[in-house]
Amino acid sequence: MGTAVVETGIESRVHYLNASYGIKSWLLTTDHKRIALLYLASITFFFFVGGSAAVLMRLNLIEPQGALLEPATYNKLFSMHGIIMVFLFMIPSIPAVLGNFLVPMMIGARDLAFPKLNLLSWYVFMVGGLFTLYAVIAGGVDTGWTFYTPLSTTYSNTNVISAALGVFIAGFSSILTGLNFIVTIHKMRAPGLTWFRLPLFIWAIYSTSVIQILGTPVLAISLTLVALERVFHVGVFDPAVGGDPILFQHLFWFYSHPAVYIMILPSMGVVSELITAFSKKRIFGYKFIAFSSVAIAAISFLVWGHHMFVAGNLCTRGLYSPR
Amino acid sequence: MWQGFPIRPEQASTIARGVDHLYYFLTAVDLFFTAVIFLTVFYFALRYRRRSEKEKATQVEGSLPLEVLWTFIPLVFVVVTFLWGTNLYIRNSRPPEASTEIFVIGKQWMWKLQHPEGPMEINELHVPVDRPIKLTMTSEDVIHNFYVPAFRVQKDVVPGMYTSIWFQATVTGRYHFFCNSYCGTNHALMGGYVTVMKPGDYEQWLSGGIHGESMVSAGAKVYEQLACITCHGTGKGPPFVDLFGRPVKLSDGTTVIADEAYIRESVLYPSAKIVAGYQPIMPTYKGQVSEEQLLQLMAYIKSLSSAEGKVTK
Repeated sequence: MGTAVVETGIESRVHYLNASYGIKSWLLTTDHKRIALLYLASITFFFFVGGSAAVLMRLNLIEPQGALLEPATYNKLFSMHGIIMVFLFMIPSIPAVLGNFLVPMMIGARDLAFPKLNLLSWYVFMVGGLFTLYAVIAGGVDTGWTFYTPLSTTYSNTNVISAALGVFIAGFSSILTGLNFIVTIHKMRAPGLTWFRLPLFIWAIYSTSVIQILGTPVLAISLTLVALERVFHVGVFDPAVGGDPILFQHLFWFYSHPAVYIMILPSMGVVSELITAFSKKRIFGYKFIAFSSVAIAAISFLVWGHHMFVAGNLCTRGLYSPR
Repeated sequence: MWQGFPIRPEQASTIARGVDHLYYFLTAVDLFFTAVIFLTVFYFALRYRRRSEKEKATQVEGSLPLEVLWTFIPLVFVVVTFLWGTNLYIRNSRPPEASTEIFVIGKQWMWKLQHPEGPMEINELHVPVDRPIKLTMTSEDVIHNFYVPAFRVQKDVVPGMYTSIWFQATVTGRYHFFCNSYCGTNHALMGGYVTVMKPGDYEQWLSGGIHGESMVSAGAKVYEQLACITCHGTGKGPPFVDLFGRPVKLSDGTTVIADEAYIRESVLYPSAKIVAGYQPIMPTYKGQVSEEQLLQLMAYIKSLSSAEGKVTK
C-alpha cells in the first residue's frame, strides 16, 4: 500500500481498513469488521467453486443424453454443488458476514463478546472448507449433499469421509459464531437498549444463532456415525450390519430442516431493515415480527418429518397392518 | 392443443384425480395470495410515495386486530390443506382387501417384479386394468423409490424392511416408472414401464411365454432346501399353518401379529422374538437366503393360512 493522498478531512479518520496494513494484519485480526470481510472473501470463493459445478451440470443438460459428462461425474458435480453451496456458502453467508459486521454496531458494542473465538471460527471454517475441497480434488463424492445411508456408508466408492469431515469441521465454526452472537446480544447491549428496542436484524440473527447452536451438533453426530459405519462397519444405518437406514434421515433432517431457517431468517431480518430504511418508516407490528423470528427457530425443530412422507411406512404404521 | 405441452402426467389410476384436485387447490391458493401481496405492494408504493422533498412519513406502529386477522386466515388454509392431505395420504396408504399382490425388489440399478403366479419381470410390469394391485417392496442394497407418475404413487424401497403401495389403473396403456430416490451412479437410468392391460389380455400374457413356477410352489421348495421342515414340520419349532396375519404369543408374554415384518425378522434374526413354549434354538438365515427366496417363503407361509381369523385393522 502506498501513501494515500488525503484530500478531505473525513477520510483522514482511522478506521478498520486503514488502521494497519499487510497480510498479517488481516490473518491475525480480531476486529469483527475485518473478520466479516474475511468471511465475505471465503464464501465468495466457495460460491464460485459451487457455481462452476452447476455451470458444468447445465452445460451437460444441453443434450438429453448428456453432452459432456459421464453419469458418475454428473453425480459428483451435483453432490459437490449441494455440499459447498449449503454448508460453505448459504449457512455462513448472512450470519457470518453481515452478522459479524453489523451486530456489534447495531447494539452499540465495541466488538463481539469473544473476538479471538470469532477469528478461530473463521479458521475452523477454512479448515472445513479445505477438507471439502480436498474431497473434490481427490476424486469427488457422489452421495448428494444429503449423505443418505446405506449409499453413503456402504455402497459409494467415493470420498465420503473427507467430505463429511469437512462438513463436520465447518459445523463447529457455525456453532462458535452462533454462541458468540448470543452472548454478545445478551451481555453487551448499550445501556437503555432493551430487547424491544433492538433492530429486527438482531432478532433474526439471535434466532438463527439458537438454531446453529442446537441443530449443528446433531448433524455432527450423524456424520460421525456415517464415518464410523463406513470405516469400522458399526451397525447403525445399514441393515446388512443390523442398522436402520431411516434413522439417518430422522437425524439428518433434524438439523437440515432447521438449517433452511438458518438461510431464510437472516434474510428476513435484512429485508425488515432495508424496507424500513428506504421508506423512512418504523416497521409495522415490530413485536409480532420479533416474536415470529423466535417462533420460527423453535418450531423449525418439530417439522423434519415432512422430508420423509414417502420414506418407509412412516405415518401409516399403526394405522393399518399390511395383509 | 396441449398434446405437446402436458402440464401434468396422464391420470391413469383411481387416486390420480384426488391428488390432482389437492394440487390444483394449493396452486390456486398460491396464485391468489401472490397476486394479493404483489398488487398491494405496488398499490401502496404508488399511493403512499413521497410527493415532495418536505413531506414527512406518518408513523403507523401496528394493529393487533390486523395481525390476528392475517394470522388466522392462513391458519384456516393450512388446516384445510392438512386435513385434506392427511385424508388422501391415509386413504392411499390402505390397499383394499381384494388386492392382487406383486413383489418388487430394487437393486443398483434395476427393478425385479415378481408375480405370484410365477412370471418375473425386469424393468417391466404388466397389470390388469380396474383391479387393485398391491406392491410389496424391498431393496437388496441402498434406498430406492418406486414412482409411477401417471398413478400418482411413490414410496421408498428400503433395504431390510418391506414397504408397500397400491394402485388401481383405470386406463390401459404404457406408463413410465422411475426410481425416485437418488441411489448412485446409474440412478437416472433405473426405471421402466408399467403396461396396463384388459383383464383378458392380462390372463393371456400370464399364461403365455416361458416362466417359472408360482411363488407358492417356489416357496415350498425353499422351505425344503433350507431344511425349515426339520423343526417347523415336526413340532420342534412353531408350525406355519394358519400363522400369517394372526396374533402370536411370545415367551416374554407379549403378543405380535405375524405380518411380513415379523416373518422377515424371524428368519434373519430368530432370537429377536421367541414364540411362547419353544426353545431359542433356531440359527440365523441371514446371508443364506436371498430377498427373492424370502418373498417366496412369505408367499408359501401365506398360502398355508385360511382367510378367517386374520387380524386386520
